[in-house]
Amino acid sequence: MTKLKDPKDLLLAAIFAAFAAVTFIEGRELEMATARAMGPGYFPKMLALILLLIACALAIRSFFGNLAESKPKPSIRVIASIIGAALLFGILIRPAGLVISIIVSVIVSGFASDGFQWKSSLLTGAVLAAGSSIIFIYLLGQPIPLFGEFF
Amino acid sequence: MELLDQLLLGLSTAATLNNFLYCLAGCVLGTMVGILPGVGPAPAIAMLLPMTFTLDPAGALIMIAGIYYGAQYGGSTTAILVNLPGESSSVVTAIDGHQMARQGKAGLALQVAAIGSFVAGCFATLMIALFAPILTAAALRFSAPEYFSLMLLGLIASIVLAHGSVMRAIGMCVLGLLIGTIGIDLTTGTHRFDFGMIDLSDGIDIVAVAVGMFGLGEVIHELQNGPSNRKANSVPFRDLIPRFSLLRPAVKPIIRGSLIGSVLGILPGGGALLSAFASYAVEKKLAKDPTRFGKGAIEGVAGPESANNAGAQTSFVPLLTLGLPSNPIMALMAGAMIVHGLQPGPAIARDQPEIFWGVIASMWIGNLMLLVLNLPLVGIWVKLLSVPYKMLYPAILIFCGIGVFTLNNSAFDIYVMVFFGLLGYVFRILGAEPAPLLLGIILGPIMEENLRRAMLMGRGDPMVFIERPISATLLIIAILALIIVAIPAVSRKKDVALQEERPANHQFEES
Repeated sequence: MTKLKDPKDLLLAAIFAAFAAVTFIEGRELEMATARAMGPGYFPKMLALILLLIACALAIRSFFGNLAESKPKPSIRVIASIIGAALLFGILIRPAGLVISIIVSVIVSGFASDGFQWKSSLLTGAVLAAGSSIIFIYLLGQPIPLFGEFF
Repeated sequence: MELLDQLLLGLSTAATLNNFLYCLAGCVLGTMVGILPGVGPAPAIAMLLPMTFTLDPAGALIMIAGIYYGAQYGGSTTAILVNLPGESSSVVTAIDGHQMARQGKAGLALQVAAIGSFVAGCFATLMIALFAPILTAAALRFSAPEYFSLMLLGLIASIVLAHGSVMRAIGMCVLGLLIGTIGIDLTTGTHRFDFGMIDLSDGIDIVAVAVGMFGLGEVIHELQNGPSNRKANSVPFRDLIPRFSLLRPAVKPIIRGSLIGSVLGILPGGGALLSAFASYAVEKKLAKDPTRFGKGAIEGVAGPESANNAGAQTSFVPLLTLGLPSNPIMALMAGAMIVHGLQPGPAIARDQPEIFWGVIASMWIGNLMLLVLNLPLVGIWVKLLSVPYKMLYPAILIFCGIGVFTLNNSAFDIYVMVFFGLLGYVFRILGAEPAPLLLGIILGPIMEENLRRAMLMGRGDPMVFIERPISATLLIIAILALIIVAIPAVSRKKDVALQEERPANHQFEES
């Protein structure tokens, strides 16, 4: 019985295969047409096919290739708070405006570092909100809502 | 003399008060970015790109270029004083530069780095001025098959130079091309892969992808690796006054580094990082006593520092002449040009010489500014290092968000950024580099268009790529490169060369 040697290759193969599958499903109605006059489906489906082949090769290699060294586990707390902060920024920017979305995302992102403190997070948020409003809205004249549609 | 006329035209564009100030702003921002560890030039340019949208095209490009080569200068300062490369191509400088600093020769190391960078920058500017017109002339005669083969060569070069497994890099590149097909098909007007979302019909914005992968990805990565020691060695001011007797051994390495960097920068897929590594290897080979390297050899600072600066500058050549971005930063530059209504490629030098030559001349002016900014003011820059990362990363996060939002004034781009930030982080854990993916996304639509045209020209016969001599040559080079790295012995050597003495936490960032 062969054992899994490199889980990274297998996971990568799964991601690639998933993208290829989505291409085939989403693109099922796109015409291939001929090589001479290619339709909108030709190029993407060819790429998806190549990607699928690479995924297969990686999957095979993950069982027969060299043994990979294991790496330290990523911290879910860091990833969740950074991704969450960026996502909240996007969700809040239109309805709540720049100032509030900055303060909220700075607080959420604060959970990523060891030793979260309300005081320093609020202070950093306030400074960044003031600074960004001055730079981006007043000096550069970017059309960003200072306070959003809620207000 | 035609070249002189063109350089004069460039100087007259670059020396206007506005462009001079944009160049200064770019250099100052670049130096800051280079010094701050955890903020590489790619996310910095991506974050600051929206600020340049209000400028005229020449000013915007001058500023972005300044950020890029400014970062090469700044990166060396932290590499020498703190042993923390501010950006990836200074990794090599840290090896001997920091040893020099520990032996009390920090001032000399900084001088060599700054002067070497300046000399290399001037040399590279001249090289660009000489070779760009030749490449432009050649590129103007290219048609669809040549363009397709050229793009393929560019992509394969990025695969060959990617760190780690070749198979993974090919997968990343193909995935990038696939993501590039999202949006309305230009030839037929068909909607493709937009999942019913109107926001996707214009395709995915490359800047949002780059900010996600480099900006957010870098923040997550830095936070996981814990706080690093940022205590800087101090430098007395009198140590910063150049003395030729001490600088003498650096003269030849600077000249060699400038040459190596200028050549490697022009290659598709090349740039600052590759140039620095190559120069270090050459200096070590040529040295009478190679054991001094790693223990504070002045050549180990002079060569790579000159090379990375020259490489950073000449990597503009493929973009400005062939329309081929050779690394993620050039991909962002291409994005900026498109926003300003300029199609990257040979037509710029022909139709808008003042922009083309203005950017080139501004590089020379910028290098002079950087010399003044860096040597006497080094003490001020080092102060930046005392900003704790705890306060820095929320700011990076916010600037990423604002930058991406202002691209199209839409929150959708922020979601794209988040998606690719997460995806990029997963890829990084899985040992797949993002550079080939990014190049694939930007080259995808152009490649498809040229492939279709070429196949139409060849009446459906792929022989069209082989029958045309230029296209055939480009393809042969691409295939050879791929075969060479696929040979196990070479691929092991490549990894050693790219990994040797490289601190684990900075191998990711492009250049």
